[in-house]
Amino acid sequence: MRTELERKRLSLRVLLETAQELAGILQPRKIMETFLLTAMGPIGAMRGVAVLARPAGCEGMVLSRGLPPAEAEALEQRLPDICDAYFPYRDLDGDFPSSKIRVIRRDQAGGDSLLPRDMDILLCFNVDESHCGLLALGPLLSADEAGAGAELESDASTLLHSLLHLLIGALRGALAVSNIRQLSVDLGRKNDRLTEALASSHAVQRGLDRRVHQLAAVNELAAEMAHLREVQGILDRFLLTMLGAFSVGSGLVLLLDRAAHGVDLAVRGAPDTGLSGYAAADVLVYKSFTASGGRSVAPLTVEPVGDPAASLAGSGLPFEAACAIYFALDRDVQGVLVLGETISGEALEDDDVQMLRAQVGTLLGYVQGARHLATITALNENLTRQNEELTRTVTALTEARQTIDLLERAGERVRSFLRTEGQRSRRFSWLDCGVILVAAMLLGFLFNLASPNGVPLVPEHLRRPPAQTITAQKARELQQSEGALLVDARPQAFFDQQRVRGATNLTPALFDMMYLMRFAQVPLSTPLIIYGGNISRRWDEDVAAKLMAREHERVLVLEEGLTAWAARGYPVEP
Amino acid sequence: MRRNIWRDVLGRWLALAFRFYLGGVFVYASVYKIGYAAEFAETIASYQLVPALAVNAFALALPWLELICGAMLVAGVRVRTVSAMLGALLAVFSVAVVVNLLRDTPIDCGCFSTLDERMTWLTLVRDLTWLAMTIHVFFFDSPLALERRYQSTLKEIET
Repeated sequence: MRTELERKRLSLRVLLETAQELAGILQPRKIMETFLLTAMGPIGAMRGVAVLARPAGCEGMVLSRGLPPAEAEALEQRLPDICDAYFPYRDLDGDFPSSKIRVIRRDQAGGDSLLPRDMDILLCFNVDESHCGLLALGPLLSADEAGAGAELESDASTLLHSLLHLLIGALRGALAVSNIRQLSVDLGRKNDRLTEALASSHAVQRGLDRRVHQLAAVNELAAEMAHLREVQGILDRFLLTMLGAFSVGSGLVLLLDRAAHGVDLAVRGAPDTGLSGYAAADVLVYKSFTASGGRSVAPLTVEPVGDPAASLAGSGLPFEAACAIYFALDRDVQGVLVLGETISGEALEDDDVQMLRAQVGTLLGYVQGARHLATITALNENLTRQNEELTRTVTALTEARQTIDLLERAGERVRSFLRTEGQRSRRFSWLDCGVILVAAMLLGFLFNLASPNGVPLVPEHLRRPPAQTITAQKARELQQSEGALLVDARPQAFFDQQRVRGATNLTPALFDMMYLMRFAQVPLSTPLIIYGGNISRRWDEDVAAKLMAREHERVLVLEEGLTAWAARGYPVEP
Repeated sequence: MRRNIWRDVLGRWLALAFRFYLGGVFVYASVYKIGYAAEFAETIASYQLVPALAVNAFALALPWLELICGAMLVAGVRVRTVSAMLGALLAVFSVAVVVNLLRDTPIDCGCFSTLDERMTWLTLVRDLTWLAMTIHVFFFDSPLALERRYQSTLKEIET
């Protein structure tokens, strides 16, 4: 009985010491080593092997005591086979058998050849859901006394199981600590990764913000440039937007037209240093082309200029170039976009350059559209001008046609006139007679109005009262009784041809002279009888009027003149 | 051929000579009368054929009629009409001469001026000769007429 108590006391003491040994150890290997060292003594084993494995990964550790180093090393090499032999449920994904400790008889073990030969005790145990363990002890000192193959006493077995429970508990704690440490490390790593990811996301956020800002600016640019029609305006607007979108303080965009020998230049944030001149612009564009690495000018080319600060140096740039994009619309129209340092002093990123490149491509589209529009406008103006010229030509042709018609009609009328006149000239025309007569009368009367030798149209004797008349008989009586003088008013030739005897010739034409010569001495009271009128002229009336004007008191006109006188047989002469 | 030449000489070319002669005579005769209308009126009155109311009008119009007809005859314009009018004038003059010769009126012809020779039967012969010339001119188309330009111009236009 006392022995029994001593044995239990010893067992408890062993357990206590083992528990104390294992209490402060956190490493599983150390626990396993300590356990082997602690357990082999009380059990009475000369050698021991302890395996802690994770069947799912065929990994773990093999510890041994009392084995030669070569055999111990070979044993470690056989760990996967040991796992296959003693932990066949590794594929159960943690669903291990519920019994924690299994005593395996050597003849029952599949991997008997894997362990040293004289291992009398084989125990498999589960540490946790993923770890299993194997403990092999032997040969026992008690077996040497009892013979080979002796089994462990019940007390020793109980002690061993208790020790194993201690081992399992220690291993669990160590594994838990290890897991916790691993988890802590993983958590730290993940935390670091998260911190990096957060920083990266911030950077991405900034990039995205910048990109959104750039895209918004580009969108606004597209909306504004859609209304622009002139290349210069497009360049100005584009440059302003690019400077704002990429936060650049200064920049220029230049477009060189070799065919038209013209330059369009937009500069912001710096003075124009003469790049608007064709020669300087040509040099800048050529340097940009060579620095862009292009070998030929293909239409709609957009290439970044490599190392713009160095390659464009000496081109007359008013600022130091930080980024430059060479572009070509076609073989004749080329240009370059040059940007200075950003406001923040940071260099543009590759994405920015690519974005800039894409925007220059868009710029080319607008410039091409503007140039096409200019060409179309010029064509339209040309067409309008040609239309106006055509209209004028048509109008002129119409007028010419009308003139020709008019001239043809006039020619026809001239021909008709000439034909009529030709025919008329060959025949007698009463109309011509009338025209000639009227013309003669008109000319005669008009000339008479202006002529100093003009004559009155109406004879003067018709405009004065007729003189007193006397018959031939009374005239004869008056001649004989009162010595009346007979006056012949006819021209000299008529007077000479025949006259009243004793008559005196006194014509109206020579009245004054004849009167002085022949009638100056005649008393005014002497009756004067005048004759000499005919159908055409009343010379008698005219002379009578003149004599009465000379205040002769009795001036008489002989009725029917010389004819009546001679008809009565009164004397005439010669 | 010779017959044609004689026909031309006695026809066209003689008519041309008559045209120039008669035209010149009438133009010459008209000049003095136009300048001295009063004297010409007395000449007309001396014929004692024209009513007193028309004497001055005759004296004004007749010289211009002679001038126009003479000029047109020389120029070759409306030759037939003008020759007919001059013929009519000469006929009237001849009748007047005949009447006054029969009346034995002691007047001058007054054909060119007021100081012409006394009108005689030779005056009538002269007038009748001129009348015959006008008749010749009336019936024979003469060259060098201004109105022939119409036909040549017409030919130029039509060609």
